[in-house]
Amino acid sequence: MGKSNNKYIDLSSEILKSDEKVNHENEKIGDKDIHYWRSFKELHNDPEFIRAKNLEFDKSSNKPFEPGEFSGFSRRKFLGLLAASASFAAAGCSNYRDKGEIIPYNKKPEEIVEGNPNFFASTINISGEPVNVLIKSREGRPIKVDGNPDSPIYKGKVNAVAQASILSLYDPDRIKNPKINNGSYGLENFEDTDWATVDNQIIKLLNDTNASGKDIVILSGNIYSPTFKKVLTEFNAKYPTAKVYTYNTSGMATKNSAWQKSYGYSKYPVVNYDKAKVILSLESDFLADDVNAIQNARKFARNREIINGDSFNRLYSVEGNVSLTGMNADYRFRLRTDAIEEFVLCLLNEFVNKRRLTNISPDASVASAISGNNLDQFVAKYNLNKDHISNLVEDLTKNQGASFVSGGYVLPESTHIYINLLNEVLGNRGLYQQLYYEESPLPFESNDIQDLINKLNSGSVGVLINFDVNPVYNLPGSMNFKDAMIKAGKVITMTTLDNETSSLSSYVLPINTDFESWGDFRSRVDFYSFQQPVLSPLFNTRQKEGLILNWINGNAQSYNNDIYHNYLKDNWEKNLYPGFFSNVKFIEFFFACLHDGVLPVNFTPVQLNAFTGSAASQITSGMKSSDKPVFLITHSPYLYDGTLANNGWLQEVPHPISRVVWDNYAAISPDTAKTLDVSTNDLIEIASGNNTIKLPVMIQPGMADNVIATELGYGREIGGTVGTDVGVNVNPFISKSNGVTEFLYNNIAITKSSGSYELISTQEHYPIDDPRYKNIQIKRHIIQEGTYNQYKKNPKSVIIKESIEGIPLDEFPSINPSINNPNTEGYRSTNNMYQGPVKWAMAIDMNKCIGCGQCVVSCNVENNIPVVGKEQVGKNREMMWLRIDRYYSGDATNPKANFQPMLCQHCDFAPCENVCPVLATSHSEDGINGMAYNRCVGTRYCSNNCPYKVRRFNYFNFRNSFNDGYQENEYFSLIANPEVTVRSRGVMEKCTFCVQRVMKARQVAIQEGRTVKGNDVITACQEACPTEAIAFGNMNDKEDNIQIYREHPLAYYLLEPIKVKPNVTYIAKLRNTVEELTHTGGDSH
Amino acid sequence: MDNKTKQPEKIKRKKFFLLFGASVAGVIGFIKSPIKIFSGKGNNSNPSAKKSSIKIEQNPLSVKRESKSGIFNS
Repeated sequence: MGKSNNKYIDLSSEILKSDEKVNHENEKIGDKDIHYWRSFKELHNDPEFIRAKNLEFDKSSNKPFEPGEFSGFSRRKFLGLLAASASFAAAGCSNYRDKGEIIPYNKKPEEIVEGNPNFFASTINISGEPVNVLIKSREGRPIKVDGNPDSPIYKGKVNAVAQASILSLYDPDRIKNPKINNGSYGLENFEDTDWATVDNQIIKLLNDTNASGKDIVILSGNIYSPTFKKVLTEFNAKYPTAKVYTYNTSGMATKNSAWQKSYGYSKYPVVNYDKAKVILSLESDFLADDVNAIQNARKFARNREIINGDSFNRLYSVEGNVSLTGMNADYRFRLRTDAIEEFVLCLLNEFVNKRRLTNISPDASVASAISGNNLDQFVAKYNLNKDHISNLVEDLTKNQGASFVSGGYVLPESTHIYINLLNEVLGNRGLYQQLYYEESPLPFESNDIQDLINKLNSGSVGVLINFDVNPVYNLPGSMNFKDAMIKAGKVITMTTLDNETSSLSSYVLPINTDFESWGDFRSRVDFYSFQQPVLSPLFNTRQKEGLILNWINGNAQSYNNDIYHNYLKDNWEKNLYPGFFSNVKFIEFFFACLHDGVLPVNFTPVQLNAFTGSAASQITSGMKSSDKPVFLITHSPYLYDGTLANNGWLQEVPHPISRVVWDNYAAISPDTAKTLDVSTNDLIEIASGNNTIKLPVMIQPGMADNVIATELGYGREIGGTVGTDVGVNVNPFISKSNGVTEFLYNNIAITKSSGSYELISTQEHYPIDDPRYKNIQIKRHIIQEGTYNQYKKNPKSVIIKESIEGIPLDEFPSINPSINNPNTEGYRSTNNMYQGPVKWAMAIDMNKCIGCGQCVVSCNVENNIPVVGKEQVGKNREMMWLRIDRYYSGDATNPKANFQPMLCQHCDFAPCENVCPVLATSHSEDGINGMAYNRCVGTRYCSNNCPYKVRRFNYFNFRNSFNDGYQENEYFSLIANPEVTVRSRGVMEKCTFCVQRVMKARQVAIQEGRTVKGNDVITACQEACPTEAIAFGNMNDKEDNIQIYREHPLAYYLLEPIKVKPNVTYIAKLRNTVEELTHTGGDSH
Repeated sequence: MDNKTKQPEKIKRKKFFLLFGASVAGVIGFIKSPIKIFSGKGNNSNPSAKKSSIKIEQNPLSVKRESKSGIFNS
């Protein structure tokens, strides 16, 4: 077939052979190089990768059909065997669909209306911090966790860890009864027992220990509960040798200690990023890996507003690792982490000694100490872009008082002190808000864990109570807590799951999860948080605070499920409620607190103290860069410190940067990989002092040379069915003495190790920019971006108009001509065939999307998405309906990144609908592309035809096949959202625009006699997004908020030329750079 | 019609009934046997015969509320 002469494009002549390389060098639109790539294989046109892109489904499914391979078989024999097999199967099969009878309530609880959810405000503990949540419950069963809209911190949003934490309630691995160790260590040596037995033994043990003068130690995370502090005081009164030690895994130790020395407060404050026009992030992932990440993201996005306002901050990032914040920066500089302090000193010299800013006058000794740091020399030494550094200095100078310098928690105390000074020099102290509640520790409370270890080693600890903590796993290996702990007289561990600590304990006491517990918290001065149980304990577990109360009472029979509830209420009535001078009765007051989940407190704003000059002048030895590689250890964005390692959703959601699942790794730069002669999946051994660790390599674009980064939260030895032996445990490597900090080492030795380890990454899955169709591919414009300056000059200049063979798309006749006026409007006609009162549409603002992936986890929880496991993800079979496509562009050593949420576009002319042989997928009258799962026969033609590759096929019944039916366990099954079908094998599924929420809103509207409005429906992804990047509404309503997005000059649609009319609007990303986008190289954008 | 075409050998009546009885006995024996190769993995084999050990009970002391982030946030 040759190229035809008519106007239609003959694709057959355009199709490239699979091994033909595509030269991207000359692909330009105007002056723009529009080549985007997602991995090095794609960038370098790896032939194997190109071939793999041609195959949508697994390679093994393409085995050719060979009729000659079939054996001869007589027809009679075949039919005989068929009949025998059928009767055999019929006799042996049970009716697997029969799950028993469903009967309505005999006595319906008053508060439950079948089919309607209830919502409960509560607080859950995530990584040691209280998080205000709103829990959705159906028929008494909590099924979803979202943020509490009344929370001043969270304002209705929570992170992915909190979203997925609902699984911890229904975890089949939960300990169901108390256990006693029969004398030897190890999980197999425990025997189930009853509470009366353990309580009696423990009470006696506590009394004996106290009488002997040995310590009774409670080891806990941060204690924010005023009521529990009272309990501890009473415990200490009962057992005077009782002591409390606390530790946390936030990693904020150096930042907090620097703040203490700088200003006299023990905790680093809240930062108002919404007031900052210029932000400099120094190895700081304040958008994702921060105690206040949700609040930071919300505030940061307020200054990236292009839809409902016009304010745009500028973000500079200087880092060795590749962080989410760095990938969202307008300017990013690669710099080894141990050189950051020198960079800060250079900036201080620039502002103090050269530009003579007068916001603060540092001590003469400090001014003298920093004078030797020349910024120009530094820039030359580390090969930074001189012009961009000049921009940074100019921006900070011009925006004094409206800028901010943020330091990452991996940096040492000295660097943080200099950063605090730099913020003072720049006049930025107005951005701090000292909101953390500073309470003096109890007299018997300490956070000196080394002191505890010394006591354990000396044998002076009679009883150690691990209060819902896992120190054997979490604490640095150098502390050798495990060997110390087993020297305690007896060890009591309170936990929900078996873990590394409980396996070495004498007693293991199963406790209630946060969803079954009462509590109160005060981590901030401006409000209290309340925790209430949504349901009664599922198993034979107890509230941990109640256990302590029971031991204070000294009577094993005194425990009941309300013991702590009554104590909490009593404490509030007597000690806290009077201080509010409320006009309402206490019981109404208390119910209101539980209803809202938070209680605002009138407080006098803390005036920040003056900067303590001696904090900087007393620094004798700061951080200096070395000539050896740097090793960085950070938190996993989804597993954090590994507490929720048994959560399959968190293991399977792709890493926001590398898209790796189910593993941690050593991220290194391409040049470092060349030096070490390693490639992705090779193993390297990292040594520092006596500590070594072996990690698989991931070549990560954007890493600074000679910097290696990995993440905590993996390598659990006893982490449950799902979480055990996933990844590498980094905690044993951590040592305060070996490194600059616990998280930063610049004296390591790296050697290539033998063997390899396969890392599974989803970054090459579902590409929709196929290079086979050469001319069309160039014009696909999956990502459209520009600069803020360009947008200000001409808002319409950013979007590249689509065209086919040079004809602008707008000039094509409307596919949807109106009956009265055919061909009067172009392709983007607002007339559409869905003329009803409602047509649902979504918009995603790429300026606000930071790629955090919280929407993905929320969608997984809402829509009963199964976990498939690492092996199946490796075969492109992950089941997540929503994915975040991450595109790099520009220089491979320091690329820019674009994050694009991709979901079903609910196209008006959906190509999937036409090809379904059984009409399992069809379009509703309100514009939703729906799936009838019970019609689907699994031809997968719809997925084949979908240009966006958003359909997911159930190759297996993953609930049954993953980990031997782990997800079909009777406990796990309780997590399922009853409003969403649970799909089985052989069925296609995809995003439904949360049709269950749409139907619910419609039902309410019908009952109220009105049309459903756009803002009646909030999809799960929209609800979870901390930056409000997702909008959803009715495009047939002119007043609906969605119109602003659809009519915005930056609005575009994906793959418009194929004329499927998608209904998801993307708002093009703007970068706030001085220069126009060139995607050229250099060490910054 | 050519009767010389070879027909497959017919099974004799006695043998047929013997085989039939043996297969019925085999099927019954298999159903009763402890080997459950048709049951699913995990703990859900014959779920209708098993009473669930879990009792979901909403805590009577907890205080519910309407969601504030939409009229119906279902």
